[in-house]
Amino acid sequence: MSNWLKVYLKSAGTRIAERMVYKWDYLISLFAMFFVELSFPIFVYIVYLNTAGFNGWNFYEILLIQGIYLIVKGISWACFFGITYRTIDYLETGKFDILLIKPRKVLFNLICMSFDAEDIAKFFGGLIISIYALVHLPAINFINYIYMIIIMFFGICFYFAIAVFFSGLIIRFIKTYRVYDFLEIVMIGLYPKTIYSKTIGAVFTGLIPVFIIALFPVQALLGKLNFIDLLISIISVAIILLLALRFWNNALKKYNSSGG
Amino acid sequence: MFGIIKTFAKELFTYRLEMIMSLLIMPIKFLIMIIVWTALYSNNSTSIIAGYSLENLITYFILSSIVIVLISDWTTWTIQDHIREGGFVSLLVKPYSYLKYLFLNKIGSKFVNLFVQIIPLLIILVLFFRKYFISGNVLLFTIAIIFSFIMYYFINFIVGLFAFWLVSVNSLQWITRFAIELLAGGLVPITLFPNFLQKALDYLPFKYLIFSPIEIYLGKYTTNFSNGFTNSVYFVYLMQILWCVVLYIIIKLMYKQAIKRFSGVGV
Repeated sequence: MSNWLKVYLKSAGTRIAERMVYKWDYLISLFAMFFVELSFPIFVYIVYLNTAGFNGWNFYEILLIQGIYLIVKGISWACFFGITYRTIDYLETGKFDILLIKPRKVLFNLICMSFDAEDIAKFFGGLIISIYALVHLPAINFINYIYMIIIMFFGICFYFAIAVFFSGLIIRFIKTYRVYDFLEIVMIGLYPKTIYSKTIGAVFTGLIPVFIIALFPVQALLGKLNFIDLLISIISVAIILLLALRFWNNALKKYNSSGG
Repeated sequence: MFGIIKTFAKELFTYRLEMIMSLLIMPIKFLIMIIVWTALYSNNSTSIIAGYSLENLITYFILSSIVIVLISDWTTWTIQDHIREGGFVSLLVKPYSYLKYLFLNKIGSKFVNLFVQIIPLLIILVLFFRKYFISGNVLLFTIAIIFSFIMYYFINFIVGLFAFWLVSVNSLQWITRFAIELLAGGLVPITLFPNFLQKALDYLPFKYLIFSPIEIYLGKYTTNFSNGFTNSVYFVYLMQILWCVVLYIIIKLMYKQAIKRFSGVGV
């Protein structure tokens, strides 16, 4: 096992052990994390209870988008998305300087310190919702599951790029939790692309590829995917990731300690 | 006078980021909702869903976003912090009640919210979303919102009081916040809920927080008794006042027990 992975897993284990000190509080937190993510499944249920739903999509297919979204979000938020709030916390308390003198890359140190033991609940919640939806859908070819998992990986990469960009933004300019509000834009990717105009569809396929988080993996699973769209989104994710890493490194170069 | 205006302007400038975020994010949220519901209505055989036309529903969503910003608060976390960090002890000896102190805090922060979030939001509404927005009775709506404001504060205060018994109320606060916004009609109008839930909600305070005030705005409650007392705005006001009284009594009883339990260490 690579030494980097060992360090990361050890840090993640420490984060979980810390939370387990107050076992009941942690368990309630896990439940709360899952509970607050139920708004979209409930919304979809209410929509299909009262309307004919989205053209060409049944209730379980739309529910599956939400399940996959929660799995991708759960992995991302548990494993690395915490770098955004950890950056604010460390900058405010002066601990950020300690990361600079550790014998590994600063971003890696930050990721190790940011494992979020509560967000695991999102992953398991997503898994439950996805299995429930899949049980109600016709049998799916095994190879489609492989396609779906590969595309989900790019969704995780997209979240990583956002997290790195937010963290850089916090170091460079602003120290506020309101950067999280920008994530509202991800909600666009939870609905079928056909409901949007061509311009909006193109923007969120190529420029801010939010459809790659959940819609494209589900479309791949159901055999509804447009491969050109997917290719554009993958290229976009790669470019955004490179730009985000470059931006973060620049932000770090310009960082001035306030003597914490 | 100029000094006061200058200080206030400086304070607003401190929150410029909040203002920019509201200006950027809220229109996107509105736009998503408009696109989603337009698609749902166009795929539906009828133009009315659960008593709502498309324009009614979009107005409902825009108003519910505004109402949530107006009435929500962080009282639960404030109480938790005061207990954990010891600030509660110094507030106990002040010549005003803790309930009143936090309420005045809420009014203060909402006053800033009004300028930082609500007014920019209304400007955006007028500029870009006017054609989706139905005009209604603002005065009757505002009266209902004042009661909602107090009710929401009382509910959060009750949840916050659990901090005297629990290690942390963070999770409880998240669950309550989500449940309130859902059951109050913050996500979708309550008339879209299954029947059994709609009936259950008649006996709970939540629908009077968001759903009923917006229904008043949309003219679904009358200002006379032509459709019976329960379909008049006065019934909504009466229920809001009754729930305020019930919640206040619960606070008084819980607070008494909480004070008995509390011990300030190292004061």
